Amino acid sequence: MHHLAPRRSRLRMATAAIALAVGFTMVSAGSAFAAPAPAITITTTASAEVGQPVDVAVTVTDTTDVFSYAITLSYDPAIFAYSDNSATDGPAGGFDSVVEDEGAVTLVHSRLGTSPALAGSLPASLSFTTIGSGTGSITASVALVNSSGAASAAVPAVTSAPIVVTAVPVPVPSDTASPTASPTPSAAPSQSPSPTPTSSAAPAANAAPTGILALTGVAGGALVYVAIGSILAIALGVVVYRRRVASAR
Amino acid sequence: MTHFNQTPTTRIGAVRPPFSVRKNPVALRRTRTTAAAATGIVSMLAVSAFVGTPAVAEPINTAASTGVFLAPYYTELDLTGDEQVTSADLELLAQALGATATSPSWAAVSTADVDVDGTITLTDIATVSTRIIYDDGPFDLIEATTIDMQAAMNAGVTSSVELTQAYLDRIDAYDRVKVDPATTGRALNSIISTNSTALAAAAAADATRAAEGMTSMLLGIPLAVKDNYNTKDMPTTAGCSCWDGNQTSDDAFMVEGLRAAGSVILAKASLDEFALGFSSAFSSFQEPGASLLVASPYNTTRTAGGSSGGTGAAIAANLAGIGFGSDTGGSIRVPSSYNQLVGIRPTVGLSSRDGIVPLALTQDTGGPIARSVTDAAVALDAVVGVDPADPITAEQTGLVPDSYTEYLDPTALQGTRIGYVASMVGTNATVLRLWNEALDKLRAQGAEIVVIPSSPTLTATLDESSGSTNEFKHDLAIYTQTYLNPAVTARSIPELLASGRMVPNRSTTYTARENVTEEAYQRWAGPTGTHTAAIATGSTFVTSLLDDNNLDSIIYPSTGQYTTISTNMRLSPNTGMPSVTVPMGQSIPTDAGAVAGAGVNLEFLGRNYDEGTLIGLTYAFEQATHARTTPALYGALPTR
Repeated sequence: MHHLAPRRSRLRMATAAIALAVGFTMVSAGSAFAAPAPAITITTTASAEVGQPVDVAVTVTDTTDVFSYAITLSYDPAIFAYSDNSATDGPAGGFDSVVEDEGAVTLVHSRLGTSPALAGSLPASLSFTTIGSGTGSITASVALVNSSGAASAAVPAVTSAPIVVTAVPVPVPSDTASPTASPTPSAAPSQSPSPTPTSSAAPAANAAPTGILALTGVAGGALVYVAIGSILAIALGVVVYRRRVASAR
Repeated sequence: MTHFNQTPTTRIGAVRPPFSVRKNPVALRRTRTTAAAATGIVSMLAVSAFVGTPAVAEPINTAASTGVFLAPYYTELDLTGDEQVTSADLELLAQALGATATSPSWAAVSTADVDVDGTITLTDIATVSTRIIYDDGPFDLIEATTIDMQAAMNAGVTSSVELTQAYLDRIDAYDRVKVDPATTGRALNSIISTNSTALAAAAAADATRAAEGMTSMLLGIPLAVKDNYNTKDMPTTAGCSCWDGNQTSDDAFMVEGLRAAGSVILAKASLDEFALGFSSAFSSFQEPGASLLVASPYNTTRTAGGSSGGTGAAIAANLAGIGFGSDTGGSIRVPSSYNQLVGIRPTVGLSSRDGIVPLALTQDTGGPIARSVTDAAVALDAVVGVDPADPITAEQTGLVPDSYTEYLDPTALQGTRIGYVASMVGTNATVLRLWNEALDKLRAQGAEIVVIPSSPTLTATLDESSGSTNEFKHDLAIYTQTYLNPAVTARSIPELLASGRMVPNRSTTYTARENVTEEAYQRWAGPTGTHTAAIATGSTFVTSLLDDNNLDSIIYPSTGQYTTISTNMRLSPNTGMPSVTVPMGQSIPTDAGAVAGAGVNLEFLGRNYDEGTLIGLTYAFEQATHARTTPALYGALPTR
């Protein structure tokens, strides 16, 4: 039985390409004759300023006969805090719960009664608030129980790419005595303690208030990336530079 | 109480966007993910738009709500003390994931450490989750139990309206139609009337579920009741065309209970005219001089038995969810045995006879006929109760459990002692084979089988003749005065005979009953009557037989192959003690004298008001044997 251990930090680096792939494709292990084993994929926001949310999308792929599952996300609690009520539910008709612990949050889902088990991809998404600066990854692990009540074989845990969380830039102090003092170009956006969401600044408007997601390998995403980044270059300075680095991977 | 909304959009706990229940929700999710991969950032942000959907399950229980199905399987993992498993139990358990014996939460959740590994794991959550009556998979009406139906209705997979319509469709397609291709094949003729307000009642049950959850295991379940039970929305013919116009203004007491539990009274089932007989010959809505016979769905050249033969055939052929019959000298148990069904003949005094056309009130009792012990137990719950209109029911006070479903324990045979009298088994090869197999299975389940010697008193109890001859006229007059619709002209046996609207060739029988004087009735069934005394003696004697031999029950075959066995059917009515009959198998071609399609039941007789014990014994036997089969001629209707 792959025990859940929410009280233990699970920031170990995942193996091979799965950990850093952060994409929707998965290398299947094993021979061409065997059905692919369940695996985890995880994508996260690449970076954020403290106070900005980090979105996480986790999918357990190639599952068969799953009656109950528990996806645990573990992380550095000094940097991230789970955003209450942000986790999505499992498929309709089941039971869902979120179990929070220090440095870990577990999404529990179960079918009910004599209902059939699930199969295929099991997606979940949730958000974290960034509460401290630093670089940290989020590791996803999953426990699966089948319709006979037996725990399934352990699925390798997967760790996201490191997420860079930076402190909010300290604004240049202005002469508060003079109401007509003209702000420097770099100071103007900093009148708001936290920058406005990128979505409102980008001409290619999108509705989500969340940060830009790392979509390595998806060309279109990278282009939008760069466009947004350039618009905010003045306001965000070094952060934009770091984002460019991230998107260039 | 468990609160399961009918539509899957409002499943336990969180609010979520609507999904069609018949789409594979996993496939839908996969579609969304795939779309995100193809269009990159926009679709990922679309996924993000669902962020904010609350994921923490809200407790469904409101204060003081308790479970309505008390079988141990569904209550033993309850953590919150409401005799059921709900999302509240699951939430408690989820928050205790990883807990061990040293955790503060352990006391509250240790019951749920089902695999006893000393810690609360996902496996425990999965196990507890299975103890909810809920199933969002495909629903099959054929052989569906109340649990199957409630689970599907709780998940929104079906509804009472759908069940009701499906059964109405099956009655329409199957009942008065010769389905059997054999030239000697016959129609079932199991249903006399269907309820034109059934769909409205079903809709009301669905609305109740949407507003309050599953308030009863009978909520929304379509029932067929023998056409001697008064029903406000269908005539009560008692099987006689002379009473085609008997629309009563009241429900029988038992029917009131069934409606109060939220069931749908779907149809009136056919019977032997005035409950006289074992072959269910009836004249209802036939031309004068004409009558119909009820056929067994397993072999339509054979009778479905009687007098509750219509109920037996209808339930066996899956024309309704659960049925009700009445038993004076075997009329629940004979059709149960012929149709591979579970029948309960309750203690005389447990279920009120008020509003049931009587045959012999010293022996009459109404009870369920069902495809499973679970269904029979659920049905029995709804029809018990003290009824001032039937004074003997006062005897049940303090003796009725909260629910007979408490006794649905598959281990109930362990440590029991069950006795039988050899002379009640008979000599038929099929019966003997099935009987011996049944004894082996009982022993395998932990019962000790004890042979009881016969005795003169036991023989006299079995030999005491039926009350129907001496009591029918007297008792019918009470019903006629109290309930018979004023428009009905056949208000006495002579008027019945004069109408010519009756099963032919019964004149002699009816005349004999008409000729019983009131004095003869009193000498037989009065307070000091011989039959009254015989039943009292029988009750005392058989109870002492159980006590002296430390027995939980006495067993015997209910019937042979479409035929009765000796006086077996009289043991229960001639003592007033309850019995439950359960399938034990069917004939096979290698049985000497095998009758095709013949089923034989095993009957368990017990102490007064000990239906619970009998339900436990028969449930354990049923779960170990699963002897009932589905009639091949009456499968699923072709889908339109």
